[in-house]
Amino acid sequence: MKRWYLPLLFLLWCIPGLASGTPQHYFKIYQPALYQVQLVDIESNEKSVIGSGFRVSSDGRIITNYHVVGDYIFDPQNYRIIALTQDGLRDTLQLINFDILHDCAVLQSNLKGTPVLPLALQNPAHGERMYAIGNPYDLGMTIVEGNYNGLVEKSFYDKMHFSGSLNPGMSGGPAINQQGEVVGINVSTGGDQISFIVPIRYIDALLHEAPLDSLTEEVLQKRIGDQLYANQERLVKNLLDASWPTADFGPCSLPEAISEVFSASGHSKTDDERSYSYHFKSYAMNDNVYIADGFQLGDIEYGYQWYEAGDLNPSQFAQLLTNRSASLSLGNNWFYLSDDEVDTATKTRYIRLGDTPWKALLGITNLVDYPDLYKISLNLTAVGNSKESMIVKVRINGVSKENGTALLKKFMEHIVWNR
Amino acid sequence: MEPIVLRIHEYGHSRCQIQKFASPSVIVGRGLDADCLLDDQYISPAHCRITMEDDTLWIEDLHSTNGTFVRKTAIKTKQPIDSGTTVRLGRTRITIFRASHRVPPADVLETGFFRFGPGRIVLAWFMMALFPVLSTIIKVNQGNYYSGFWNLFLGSGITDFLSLTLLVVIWSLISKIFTHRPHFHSLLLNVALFALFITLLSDVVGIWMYGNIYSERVVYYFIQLITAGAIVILLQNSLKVSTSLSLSSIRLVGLAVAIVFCGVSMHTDISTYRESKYKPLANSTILPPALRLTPAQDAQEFFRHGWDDVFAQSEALAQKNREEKQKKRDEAHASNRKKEIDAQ
Repeated sequence: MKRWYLPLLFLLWCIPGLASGTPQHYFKIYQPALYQVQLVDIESNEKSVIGSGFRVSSDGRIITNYHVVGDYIFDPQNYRIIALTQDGLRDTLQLINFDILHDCAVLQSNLKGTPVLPLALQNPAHGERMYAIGNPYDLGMTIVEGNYNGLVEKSFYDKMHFSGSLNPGMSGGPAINQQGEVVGINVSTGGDQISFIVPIRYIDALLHEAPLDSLTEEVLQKRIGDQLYANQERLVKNLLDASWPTADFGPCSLPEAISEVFSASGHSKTDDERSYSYHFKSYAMNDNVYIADGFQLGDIEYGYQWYEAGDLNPSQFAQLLTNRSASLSLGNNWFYLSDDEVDTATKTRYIRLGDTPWKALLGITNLVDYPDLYKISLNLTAVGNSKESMIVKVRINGVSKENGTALLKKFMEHIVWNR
Repeated sequence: MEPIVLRIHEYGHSRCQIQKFASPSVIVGRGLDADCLLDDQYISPAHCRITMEDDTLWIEDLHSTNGTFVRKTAIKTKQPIDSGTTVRLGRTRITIFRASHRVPPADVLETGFFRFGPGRIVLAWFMMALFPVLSTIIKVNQGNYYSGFWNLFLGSGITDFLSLTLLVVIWSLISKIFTHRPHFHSLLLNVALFALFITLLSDVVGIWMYGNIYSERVVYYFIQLITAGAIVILLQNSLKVSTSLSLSSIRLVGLAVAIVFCGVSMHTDISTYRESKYKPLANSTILPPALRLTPAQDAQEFFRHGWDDVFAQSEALAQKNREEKQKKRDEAHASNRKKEIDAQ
């Protein structure tokens, strides 16, 4: 008897664009609350950065990414933040607060009223369909469909893995679930169909936090410094509490990935002409904190370089090690100091780890804008053996004095020369 | 009366002139009425008188400005001298003989390719050519793991050859210029030798104290020094000068000067090692542990004492940058304000 309404339901299901509760519906009704956020250079009156943003309260609070407005935070005198509505209305926004670690910012606009985008109370279920909204390449508001694939496990900074494609300009736009609630904000892309979204709880927390007192450079930098300091406290505490697995690499036993947020890479090479061989292995945190263009902090990396002398005589081998251990960076620029190493205070000492002598080169940079934080590098070179040697390099980027020392100390306790 | 013979060696001339005087009294000077007329601005018009009285040679200073010297001593009164005595007036040397002066017969010259002849020059040039080859071999085996023999030979062997040539030329020039001042010449040579020696020493000290791998430079300097010295000694025949290193008071003064000079340079060298950001690795595999002046310290000890000053140093660097930044910010602020005022 009741079978007649099944085809009707089927028909209704086939025309989702008309039904309420579909993303197309929400995309349509949210239009007035979606903006393009522009950073305008005051001197030239041209936009220097574009991103997206959305209204979350009827009194005109707008959410976007920290990295969209980052230049303003570093130079509030020379930039203006502008919101552009779909109808072409422009409004100057005022920065209320930001979270540098999770890349989000709250702005105040004069564009008050409804609609506002509701915030979801919980993360979506794994595999659930979700939709990212934003204005890629200034092409106009766009909606992108994809699936929620859980939080990125190997990241110290919580991020949602979204299997849809985000493009430049969509940063700061909302990601909504099927109920039309905001579950996060678009932040970055990892390439084809792999994108990352900041969970909404950080935005929620930011909205409840006390706003910035003023927008002077000092206040803004202090806020960044405080957030970075709290972050490194948490990071280092995690690492110090954990037990570190070690593994043999050449003549040494050395720490492997000291936490799941590190990933490893390695390569080996034998130099036919020069007859020595080397094997590299390095570990780096998968994430860091973006502060400004070319300036990231909050990450740790370390690497091992195992050299075998081959036909090199002791003097030649010593020269090789000297060159390879001179630079504080993990990379290949052995001979020259990079720009930020110029402001690095260094000290070289010969130390004993267990029974073996090592040459230690310590380099410390105190950050100019964040006086409580340091970049600390330690190079250790095994000098007791003329047939093989190990260079261990550790770089901690943005850490307090106590934490840096404690971390390096623990690291050195895990280095053992086996032969 | 027996004639007086003077052998005159004027400054800057490589040959002597012989003058014979029949009269028993000869006035030497720059004045036109002097018997022996010399062209030397440090000689008085009538400088000294040489006489033959009662078969004895006498010399007497005629109140000259710069004095007459017999064996480094200025003569005050008229005094007798032996035939063959050299006296110095101004920058000129005169050897005084009586005509009957007898010189001993010549030694027999042993001839041969290397003892006397083109062999010495050939040997000297051969050693100079050998030097870059030797220095390249040393460099390739000491430290330069990245370059092969021929690369290094073409790259720096040629430069080594030229620098050695320059060394020999300078050494020869010094010898030429100071033909008349053997003491001064030998002082200069001593200073140069000790300077090189102490430079070597400072490198050795650098290796010991700060773990630098510069041993190849020590050997390299050493070979360069010995080669240059050997070449000069080989060429000595044509230079007509003694390069012996016997100690006299003046050479001791040279040594003292060299030590002071090199002490300063050594101090600079060592502080450069100390402050260098690129301290090379200790060549610990070559130096025996007893010779290493920086024994490895306990890692925990390093943490306890060594790190605080590096932190302090980095803070000082950052503070400097902060001040510079603040200054720039203030300047920008001031110029902005000025612009605003101008606009109004």
